[in-house]
Amino acid sequence: MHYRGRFICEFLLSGALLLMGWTYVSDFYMEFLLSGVQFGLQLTDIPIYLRSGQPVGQGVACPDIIAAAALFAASSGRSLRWRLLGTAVAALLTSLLQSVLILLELQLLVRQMGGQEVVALVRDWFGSAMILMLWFSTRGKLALLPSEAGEEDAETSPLLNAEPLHDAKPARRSKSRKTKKRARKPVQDVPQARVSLWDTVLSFVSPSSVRGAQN
Amino acid sequence: MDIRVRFCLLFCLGLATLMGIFLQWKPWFSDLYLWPISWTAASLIDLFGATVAAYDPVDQHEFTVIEIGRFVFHVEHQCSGISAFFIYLAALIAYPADWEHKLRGALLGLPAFFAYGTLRLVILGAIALTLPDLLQFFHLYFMVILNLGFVMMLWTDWIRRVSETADASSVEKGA
Repeated sequence: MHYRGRFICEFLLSGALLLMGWTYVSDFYMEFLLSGVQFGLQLTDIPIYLRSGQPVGQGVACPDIIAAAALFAASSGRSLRWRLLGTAVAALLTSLLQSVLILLELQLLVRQMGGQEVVALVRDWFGSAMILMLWFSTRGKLALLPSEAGEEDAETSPLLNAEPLHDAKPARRSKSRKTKKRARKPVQDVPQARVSLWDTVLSFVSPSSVRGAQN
Repeated sequence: MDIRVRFCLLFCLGLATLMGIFLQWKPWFSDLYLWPISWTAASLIDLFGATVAAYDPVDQHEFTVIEIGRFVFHVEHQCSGISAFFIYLAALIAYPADWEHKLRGALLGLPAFFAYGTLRLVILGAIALTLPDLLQFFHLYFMVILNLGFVMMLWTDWIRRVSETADASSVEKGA
């Protein structure tokens, strides 16, 4: 099947299955989300107490988290650990964003200021956008152009189901040839990969870049 | 600057700009995007023999109305998938590629998102007529999730094409 079709099928299947499972955890998540909002309300001295089931929290919680989980699940050529951690980080960031936006919306309401429309729009747009950014960042050096890529590792190249890395057979090399190559290569020629703070933060999901630097 | 940080910054900036444009010219988007999508979806549903009426309320830029049988849909901007299109556009802008590729991606993306938005409405209409109990599930959850999947599918496909073109040109130069 064409990779686009394969990706969207996997994405939809994962999404549908996760949505079914979500019914069991949605109440816990809502409690978690509202406790974050409640904490924020206490910090800002707003005399409001939220209970789960109130309209302010409904309908905002689910889709982004499930979409993130489905996206990470449908990204092939990656380990289960990467998918699970990616989903966990996405869920954490999404819940944080949602809590902050609900809090901001309540602040605007209490202070009788305008702008709720913009906050609602930000919630709609930036939830998915944040997931896209997270996916891009954790995916590694995503499909860089040759001019941009420089000495980037080809293994970190793209894309969802575009290149199923697990399907590719590793090339066999004879031991003697390896030894020969090693012997020829001077120490100073070993490429030094840069490890930025960004790489360190993200190393849990794409450890190859950091490992490359350590070697 | 790390390419990922640069991408994220440009992406947020692009999306915020597009959001500003959208808020500023909402009536324009209503007339040129929301209404055509609603009308096309209603026409397609009509082809299947269902009783459909679509109309654009006067002085109301927030939604259009589609009546399918006993169901009345208020089609808002978020139902048209325009947010997904803008996320796609922002991702195109932020990604390091030639402007020619970006323009091509945007021009190909527009009809794709139009078709996607229309199809979403047609599917929701079909579900309303055949499986009304599942309408909420599809409307509030499944179709919302699908937005991200569609964006990622198109965007990564575009990246793949950009990479292939760049590879081909570098091979030609090498030869």
